[in-house]
Amino acid sequence: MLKKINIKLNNNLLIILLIIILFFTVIFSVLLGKYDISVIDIFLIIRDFIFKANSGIDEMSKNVLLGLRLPRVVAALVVGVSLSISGAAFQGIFNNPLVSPDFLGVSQGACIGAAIGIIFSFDAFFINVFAFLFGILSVLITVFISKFINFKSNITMVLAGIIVGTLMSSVLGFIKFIADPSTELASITYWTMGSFAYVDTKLIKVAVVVLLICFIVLYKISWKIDILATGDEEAKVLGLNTMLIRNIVIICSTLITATSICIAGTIGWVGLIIPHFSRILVGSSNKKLLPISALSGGIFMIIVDTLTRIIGKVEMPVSILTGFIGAPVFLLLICVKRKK
Amino acid sequence: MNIYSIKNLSFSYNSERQIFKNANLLIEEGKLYSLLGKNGAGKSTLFSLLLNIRNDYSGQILFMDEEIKNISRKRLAKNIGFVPQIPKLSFDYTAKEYVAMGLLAETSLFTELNKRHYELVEEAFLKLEIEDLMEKSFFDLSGGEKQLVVIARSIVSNPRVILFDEPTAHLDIANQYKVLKIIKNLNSLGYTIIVSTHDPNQVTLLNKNVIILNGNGKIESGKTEDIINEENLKKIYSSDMIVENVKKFDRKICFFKNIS
Repeated sequence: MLKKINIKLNNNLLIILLIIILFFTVIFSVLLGKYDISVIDIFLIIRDFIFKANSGIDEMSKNVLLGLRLPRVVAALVVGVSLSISGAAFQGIFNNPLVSPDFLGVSQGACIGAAIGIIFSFDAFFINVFAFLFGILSVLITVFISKFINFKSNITMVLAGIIVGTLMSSVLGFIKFIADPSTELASITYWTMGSFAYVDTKLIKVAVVVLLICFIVLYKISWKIDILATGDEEAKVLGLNTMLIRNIVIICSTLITATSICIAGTIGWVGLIIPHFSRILVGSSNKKLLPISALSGGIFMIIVDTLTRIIGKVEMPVSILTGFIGAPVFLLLICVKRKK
Repeated sequence: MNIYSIKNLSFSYNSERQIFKNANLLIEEGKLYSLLGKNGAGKSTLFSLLLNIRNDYSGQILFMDEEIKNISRKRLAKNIGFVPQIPKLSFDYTAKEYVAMGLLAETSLFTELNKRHYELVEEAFLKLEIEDLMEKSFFDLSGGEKQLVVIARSIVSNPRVILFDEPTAHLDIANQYKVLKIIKNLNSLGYTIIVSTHDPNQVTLLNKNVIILNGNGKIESGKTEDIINEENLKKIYSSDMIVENVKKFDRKICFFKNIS
């Protein structure tokens, strides 16, 4: 009994610890930048904003914090949380720890949507809409192909994902080939490498709502996702509607991944390494894994975005840094897991 | 009461491989049945039909007098326990978390297990006297321990029947004996049991009823002492085996002649 309480307490303690780390990461991130704002000013500006008060803080500081840094930090948090929980959930339903959120082609599809938007000189809003729609379309094609093959195994979905992903990469390559090299090609390439430099605050609000709804649904079915780890046949014998659970996870994960791609473009590694890291901390139970992945992913993304802002004179695309950090960290996590 | 009634069952994977042809079988409540057949005879296929995993057959399979195809997956899960040949698990869970999965049918889509359910999980461990394994990682368990935990999962929902698919196939002799002893104990507690094996000595050790699949598409059943003989074993395995009665244990032993 004592042991049971101890384990539970450790899990709760971990959540509290991560919330504290997240809080300080946010403060640290909004403090850093070319324009200096003190910690006290940050709290006063936020207090004024919430209670519609006026503490006499200069407008420039308010604009920098509320118009630039805070939305950016919130965007990084939303994207980090989204990619991490959809990665964890996808790994659960496909029984494969090497699966990432773009497994069913959502990222590749979104890139094509954005590239088309850039080629046709749409404004940022419609580029995002196109990215979202093509991301969803790409997943629908994957699901359709797997149903068309009609082989009763989730391997079919894996194969369909590979087929669609490869096809989409070729389509993107073709769009890049016909794009104007001096303007459009650079924009497409920059978009596909991910950045929080130009976040749309309206889009963040939508993303927060989508994320909250999908997270609640995923959390409520988290124990059912665990049962898929026994394989489809055993899960069915245990009474699980495997198709329903899989479809719910695919819909929720695709929605939050596609939304997060609209905010910051495609960002690799987060959805792969954060669930791995979290699994080492709390085990495989998705009820514990999803909240821990969410918090760890949010913290990781804010740190990475802050680094892209402060390293060098020109802001670095996020995916470059997540790749530099992700690859060695992933190797380290595999070594830790093997040692365990 | 009959747990299963199979009437005129026919099933084939393709035109060349007919597994069952107008086969009939009755499984009575509270009895223990050994399902004997060589590799590929259809033991696992029969289980997948009895579990309603496959329903592309002709004929009738009744579960407690109801067409199995019409029974919901949850209702079947509550009433049928299953022990697979090799337990699959892609991610590591504690033995307790694993056994709790056996109570899935007690929950709805957005609900989870409550305190009472976890008491049932603990009872299942206690029933098999393996409570020391409860907090251990499933991946860290030995082959024998894993099989005991899987058995605990199969009994946690207190089902009417438990299907064991070659539960001793990957175990050493001591663990084989341990698992068979547990199976017999569970039967004495009232559980209806079907246990598949390709070893006739396990059938005689359990010494209850036997179902044989001899590859002609039919299912035969009867008392172990009537069915296990040299003639039937020849039909099943297409090779000569000696069957001798060991009076001291009142049990038949099956073995091959020396290799010459």
